[in-house]
Amino acid sequence: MNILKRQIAKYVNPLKQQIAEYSKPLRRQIARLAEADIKNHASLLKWTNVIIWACSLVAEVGTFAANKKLPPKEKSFIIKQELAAGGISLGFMLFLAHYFEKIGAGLVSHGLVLPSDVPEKLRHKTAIQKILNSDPTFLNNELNGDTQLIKKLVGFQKGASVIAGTIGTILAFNIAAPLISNKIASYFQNRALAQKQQNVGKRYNVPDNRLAVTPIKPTFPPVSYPISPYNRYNPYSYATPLYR
Amino acid sequence: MRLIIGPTFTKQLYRAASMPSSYQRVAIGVTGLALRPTIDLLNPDVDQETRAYSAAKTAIKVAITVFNGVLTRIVAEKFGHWLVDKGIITAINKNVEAKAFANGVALAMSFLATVVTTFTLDIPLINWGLNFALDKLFPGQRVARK
Repeated sequence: MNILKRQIAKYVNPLKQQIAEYSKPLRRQIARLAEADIKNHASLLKWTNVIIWACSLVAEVGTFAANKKLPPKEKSFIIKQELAAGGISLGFMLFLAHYFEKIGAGLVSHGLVLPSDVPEKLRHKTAIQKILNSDPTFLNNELNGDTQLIKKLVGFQKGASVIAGTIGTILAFNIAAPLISNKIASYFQNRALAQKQQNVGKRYNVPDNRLAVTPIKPTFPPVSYPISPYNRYNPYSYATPLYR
Repeated sequence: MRLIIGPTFTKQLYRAASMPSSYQRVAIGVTGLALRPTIDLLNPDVDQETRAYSAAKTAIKVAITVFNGVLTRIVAEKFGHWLVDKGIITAINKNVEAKAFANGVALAMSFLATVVTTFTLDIPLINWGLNFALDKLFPGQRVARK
């Protein structure tokens, strides 16, 4: 058994050393990222989310592009919709997460939201900012050199900015982005329908004012057109459920 | 006006200062699962049938990405803590707090793992999930449209 272990170690140990050597730059980058996280957790969460969601957008678009069951026109529609929705989600996420983070931290630094640990005489903006900035004179005069309160208040402020940033991200991704992306999707759909209408009109040499249905004008925000998917007399009706 | 937070909620805020990304993903995912399909279902710009289809599509997509994202993050965070415990990843700056550094490595690992699984797992899972669930929920509709 020992001989076998020695034989395995003979091959495995140099391999381990090689892996350790090659992975050194990667481990160093991970350590750097971890140290950046200690300084500003909310910011790192925000930026890692942005990168992950950008990758997710690329992956989603790839999913639809690779789906052979989707007809080409509908595929193109879905891809455009996904790109528009994804771009907006990212933009909104950055904007809202950033500002909500600032608001969360600002509420604490302005003394508007405070933990009960802060003594009543220090519950005002000037004192809070001096505590957060670790003002040495203030520290000696008011806190008798006690750094515990600074640590608590800094942790509280960091927590407030993480929670506020998460709320901003939720608002951006789950409310603002779907609402705007649906509007953009409808715009694309109306544009496709208008194009189809024009093509049919040209094909049969029918002037616009003689078309059986209301001519569609793609506008933003889009106008809804009452097109039934089951109206077989309407040449454009089949284009309505472009989602699939 | 000043809001004074009690000790229980203050404790939660201290914890949030080093909140793992998996917790954040759960919060975003659960609210997304409730809100995103509802918004699609109430979309006034499309017909009734398309709304139902679009809401189902969104719900399936969100459910798959949340499940995958949360699971990946939890596993990667545990792996990150293990790497620090074993001394495979050590801090460059020796003054950093060990627990905070381990949490940072966990976040970095969950970020790397999520980027990898987004490309390797999300694409086939969403593709399969959408085809499977939409065929069950709206049988024969795709064929009828062709």
